Amino acid sequence: MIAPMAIVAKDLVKRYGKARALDGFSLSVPEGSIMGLVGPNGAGKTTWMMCVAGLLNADSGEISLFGGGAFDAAEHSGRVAILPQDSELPLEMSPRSLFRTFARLQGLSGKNVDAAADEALAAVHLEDCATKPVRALSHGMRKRVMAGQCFIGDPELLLLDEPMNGLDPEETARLRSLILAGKGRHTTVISSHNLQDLERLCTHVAFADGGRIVQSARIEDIVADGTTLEDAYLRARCGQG
Amino acid sequence: MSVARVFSVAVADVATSLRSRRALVMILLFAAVSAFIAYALVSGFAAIEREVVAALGLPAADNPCAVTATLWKSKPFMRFANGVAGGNLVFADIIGRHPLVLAYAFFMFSTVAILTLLVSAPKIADEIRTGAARYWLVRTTRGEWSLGKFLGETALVAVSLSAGSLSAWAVVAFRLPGSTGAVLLPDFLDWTARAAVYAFAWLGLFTGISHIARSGGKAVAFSIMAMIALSVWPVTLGNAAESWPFLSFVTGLDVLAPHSAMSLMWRRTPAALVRGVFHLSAISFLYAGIGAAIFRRRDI
Repeated sequence: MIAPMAIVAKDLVKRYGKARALDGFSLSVPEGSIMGLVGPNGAGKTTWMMCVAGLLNADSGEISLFGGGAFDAAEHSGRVAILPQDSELPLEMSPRSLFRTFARLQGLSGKNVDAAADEALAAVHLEDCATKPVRALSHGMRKRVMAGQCFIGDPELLLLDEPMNGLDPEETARLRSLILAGKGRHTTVISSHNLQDLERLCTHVAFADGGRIVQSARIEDIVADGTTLEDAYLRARCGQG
Repeated sequence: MSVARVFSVAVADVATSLRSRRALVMILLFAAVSAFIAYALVSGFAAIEREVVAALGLPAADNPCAVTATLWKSKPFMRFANGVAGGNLVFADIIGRHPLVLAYAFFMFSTVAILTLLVSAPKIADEIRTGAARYWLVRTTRGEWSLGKFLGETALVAVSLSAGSLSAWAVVAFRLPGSTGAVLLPDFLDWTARAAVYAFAWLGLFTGISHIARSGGKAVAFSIMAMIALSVWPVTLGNAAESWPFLSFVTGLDVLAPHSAMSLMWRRTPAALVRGVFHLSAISFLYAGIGAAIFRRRDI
């Protein structure tokens, strides 16, 4: 039986001037899976995630979310969350007020708003600085706020772009546990250069290069007989070269 | 469109603006400048009156503005002034009002565009540039976010104007004897509301630009250019139509400039005021709508 797909992206093309960030990027992500997206800088991973989240407009190609059309906030609000790379948080808001606002935007009301905010704060271990403005938080703490907002309201699809960057080992382990806890319930796409993390977390993996996917498979089909994800990735890169 | 989501965006916008030093500084600055202007106006009127009283050889009165207000409101002066103004409708409507309030209203109308620009122009553009908007735009439609931001900025400008108005009124109430100044509060609030409607038109323009600009700095620069262009627009169009008669139709385009409806906001008759409010609101929604429409297709 073929698993239903959370994301189906076909032949996406996105140009920035003459450069093609996506050049026929096609990738399907099964529902409930954790998909690791690996590739060198400029492979198109971030651009693809932003297109899936409706933040960038692809020049051509098709995206389908949950068997329907492309991202539409009116339809998908609360179902899709993104941890964008290099995006500042609203600096004047505190983590608590930010999480409460996002919970409300995702359709929660009354006590559920506070419950969802408190749950997210606890998940990323930010209870002690819940009321401080984001401006006053360290880089690592801000990263935890970025991660925490993704889990508010239990969204179906998580798009995490370099989620472990800037986190200390303890918080990295905590975030890994958080992602693993949602396995089968959330569909998660993680873009990362940390192949060991991905090997531990992912059910599926896709290698991207030059704006397209060069290999996509279940993790056990790639990592087997003592072959690590790093070996497989380097082999795929050499095969490309 | 979800009203709840629009409301949430607007409330968050106001809350963050008030917590940010920039917005707070703007509000306090406007309040301080308003208070200073009110103080200067009272002192100015008092100085003129002292000279008049001295010239007439009358005993000095410790009642600033009393002579000016009495003269301004006297029937013979009103008839004379109306005759000089040639039946100008705006002049006919303002002639009976307290001169201090009118002077303050003139100050408000002259400065609200700048105040609005400083408070609102860079904000949306900065949120888009830094990526902060991304967290919101997976949870709201772009239309909801734009409308929420617009309403939040509207509230903020209204707060700034109210702070300015109340501080000016407080100075007037303190400087004028007895309840002479205190009773002017409704007048101050009336003109603040009118200035707020005029500011609303500019706000639509500046938020529209902020949706398109690549950074807060560029949004401010483009807003200043737009403000200057719209200020000279009616004159430019008039000159163009005079030089090239085939361009006479363009003179009708001056309705796109907020200035074109400002005289209506000085009127007392409800019909003129309603026309002014409608005109300025339409301008505001037009510019904000153009910005939001471009933003809907923009990469974030």
